[in-house]
Amino acid sequence: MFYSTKRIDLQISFNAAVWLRITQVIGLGFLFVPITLVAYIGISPEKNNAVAGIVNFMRNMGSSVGTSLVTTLIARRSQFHQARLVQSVNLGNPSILNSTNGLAQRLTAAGVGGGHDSQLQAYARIYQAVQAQAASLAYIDTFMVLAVGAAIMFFLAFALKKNEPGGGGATIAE
Amino acid sequence: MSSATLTIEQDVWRPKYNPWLIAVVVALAAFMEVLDTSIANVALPYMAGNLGASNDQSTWVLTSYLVSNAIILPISGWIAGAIGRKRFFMACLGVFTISSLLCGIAPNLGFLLFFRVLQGVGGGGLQPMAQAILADTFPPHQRGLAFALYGITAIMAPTIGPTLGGWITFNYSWRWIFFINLPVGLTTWFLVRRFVEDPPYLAKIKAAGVKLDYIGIALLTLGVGALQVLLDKGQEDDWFGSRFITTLVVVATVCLISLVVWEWRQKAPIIDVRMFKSFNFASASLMMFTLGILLFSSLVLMPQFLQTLLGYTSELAGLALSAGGLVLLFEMPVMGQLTTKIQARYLIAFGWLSPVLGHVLLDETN
Repeated sequence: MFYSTKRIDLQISFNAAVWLRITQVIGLGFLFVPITLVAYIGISPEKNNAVAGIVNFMRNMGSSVGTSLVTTLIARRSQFHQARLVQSVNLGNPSILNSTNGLAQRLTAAGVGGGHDSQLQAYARIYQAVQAQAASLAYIDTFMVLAVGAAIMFFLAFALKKNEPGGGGATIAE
Repeated sequence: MSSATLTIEQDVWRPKYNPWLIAVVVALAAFMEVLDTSIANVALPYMAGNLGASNDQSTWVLTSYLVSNAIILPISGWIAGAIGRKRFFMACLGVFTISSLLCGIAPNLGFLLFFRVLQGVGGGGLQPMAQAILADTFPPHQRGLAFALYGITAIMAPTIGPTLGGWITFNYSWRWIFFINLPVGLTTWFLVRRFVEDPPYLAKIKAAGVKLDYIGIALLTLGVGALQVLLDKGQEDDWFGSRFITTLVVVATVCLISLVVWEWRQKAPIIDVRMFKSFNFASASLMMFTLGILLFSSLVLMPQFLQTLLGYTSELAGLALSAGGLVLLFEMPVMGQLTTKIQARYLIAFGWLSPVLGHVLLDETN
């Protein structure tokens, strides 16, 4: 079943998310200064203002695209994963039927409603679990897309011109 | 090299005042502006409630600013050449500060949106010109450190914006997220007037005279405006399922392509698109674009993830994000130093590798 083959419970996802945040933030700090420097390499100094204008424009457009991209990806991938999870997580599946009934019994035993009421609550909780699972899978997909983008940039970095460290944008004469 | 004489002149000219004094002043101005791109996010529901508007309508408070901001950004270099950089920077600060006051006292959503457009126009010149002033103020071997200071403003400000905005709105009123710009704006305006000067090469560009390129400006305004609105509203309106979004996509594509073609053939373009002929400049621009994507996507992802899936309160989620900003505060100066020792492209390669490694780790945990 999908649940057991790809074990992403929310606890693991949180630890992973913290790691992702750290690696992302450290990466961003590493990138900003050298990319800004590199933009000036080989451009004559009287164009300093134009360089700053375009580079800042690109970063700002990137932030709009990033916001839009991520919002869309999360919404669409959540729907996708939910549809897939529901294929196996439904009452036609004996193990789901069993766990729903088991959950309902435990709810009744715990005094949360009785009979029909606890059965409905059990459905609701299973549904919530499916939704949360779909959302965390969507987050992981989205991180994947961002990682692929970063990987492409990694290779592009080696195509950049050599610069003299501390030269403030002067290239090494070839 | 054709610009050899200019390079020498550039190296010889140094500002009268301590460059770090100038750096702090212009970085502060840029910080205030970048903060405003994200500070209003959390205050939207309060604004909507207070001004009698729907939540949907209130999102235009963000869009309006981004649109006018994005139109000014790419032509800021050209404006600086036309009227002088110091004068342009001061004008931007003035417009930004006054329109912040007006935003704060706006009686209804219509006025607020109009003042936000003005604020975006004023703000548009602050980021790039702060960077340009830093580039001209410091000798080459100190540029790395100067850009590190600028990087703190450009990357940290959007990280703490939502947290600060939430705190101000919750404890005082959404109007104060605009009023806080007044003291900062006024102070930096006077300090810029006192300490910043234009390098000699700018006077030459200005003396050469500048012609207004109406067609270029029209194409830019339509193209970038449409692009910004469609990015902001696309998901809400279900992308190509909406005629509005589809129309915007067509308008943006046609206008932006025509803009590049048009500017490519201008003798004195408002956007120097021919700089993209330099592979290095084009790559750096693409990387900055991707950096923007990464920065803001994590700003959107993390709070959602923490709040909807892990049940964090919005304050805790905000704090978690701002903690990430603190890492940057310490990292940036170190990077500024490293750029004087290690080639930029290797540092960049490492920087891009980091999120990729993060993802590999994630896959292994699963």
